[in-house]
Amino acid sequence: MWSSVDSYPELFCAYASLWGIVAVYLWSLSAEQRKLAKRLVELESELTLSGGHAPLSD
Amino acid sequence: MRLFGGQGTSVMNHNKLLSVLIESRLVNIVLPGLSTIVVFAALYFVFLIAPNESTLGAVQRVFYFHVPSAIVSYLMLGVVLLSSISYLYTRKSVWDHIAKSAASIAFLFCCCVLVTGMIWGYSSWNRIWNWEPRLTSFLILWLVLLSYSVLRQYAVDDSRQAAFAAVLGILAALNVPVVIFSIKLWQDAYQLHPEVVAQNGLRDPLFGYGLIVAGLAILLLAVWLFLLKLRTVLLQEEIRSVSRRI
Repeated sequence: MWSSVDSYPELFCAYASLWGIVAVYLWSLSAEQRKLAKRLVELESELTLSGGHAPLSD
Repeated sequence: MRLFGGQGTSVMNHNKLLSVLIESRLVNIVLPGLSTIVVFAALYFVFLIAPNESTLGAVQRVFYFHVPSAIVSYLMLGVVLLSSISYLYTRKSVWDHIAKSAASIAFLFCCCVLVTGMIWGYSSWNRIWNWEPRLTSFLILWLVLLSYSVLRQYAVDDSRQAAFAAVLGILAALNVPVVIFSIKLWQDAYQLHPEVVAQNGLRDPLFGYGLIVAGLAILLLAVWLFLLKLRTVLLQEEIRSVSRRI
């Protein structure tokens, strides 16, 4: 199946970079989501404490 | 009054869509599970079942994920085109969020295509880059998407930013046919990029099956990442909305 002309380093680099890019994107996306969800909970509790009856668009 | 009504409707749409995306089993369980299984199945097929290509050797196996990554980025740019036009027509921010998320995934897969293509090129042509029509037009597409990302990241967040981004998104999507047909538009003398599928280069059916499995894997992954990105964008919007109310 594998011949003598095979370029293993290039093949490895291509797959490592492909999945590396996807993994870094996924990791940064989930980290950002966790941070945003935490911030949203904080803001909502702040809103509840302050009464929270301000109009939606001001 | 129309503007006020439109914004109120959008806020309600955000909340509803955000709740659906947070609670959705499709986003939290089905798509991550399914895409992981299909990615591993594709890797198994590509490395252990698909035959070796006689001229290029093992590095030809880059093809199975390089081509689907390009196709998925074009599909995402199709979503950007439709949602950007819808945003410019209706001014509903939900379209802007969809365009923003799809452009992000298109850019991600464009990066994958460029990097894997350069590595493959190094192995095939002994250089990572050639100024030939397909590569040059793809680089232009990548640069337009890069400027779209910079605009989204650093411009002041208002409706003008969304409108400019919609126009840029449409421009990026209009570049896709140029990339696809660049092989036919210029003379053969300038061409280096192979036209494997169009010229019936996949003679062994196993090459084709490998491409289908890997394509399905990349497509599922892209849909999952798109929904995750959309959830992030809606969370950002929700935070802005709550911050305004405090």
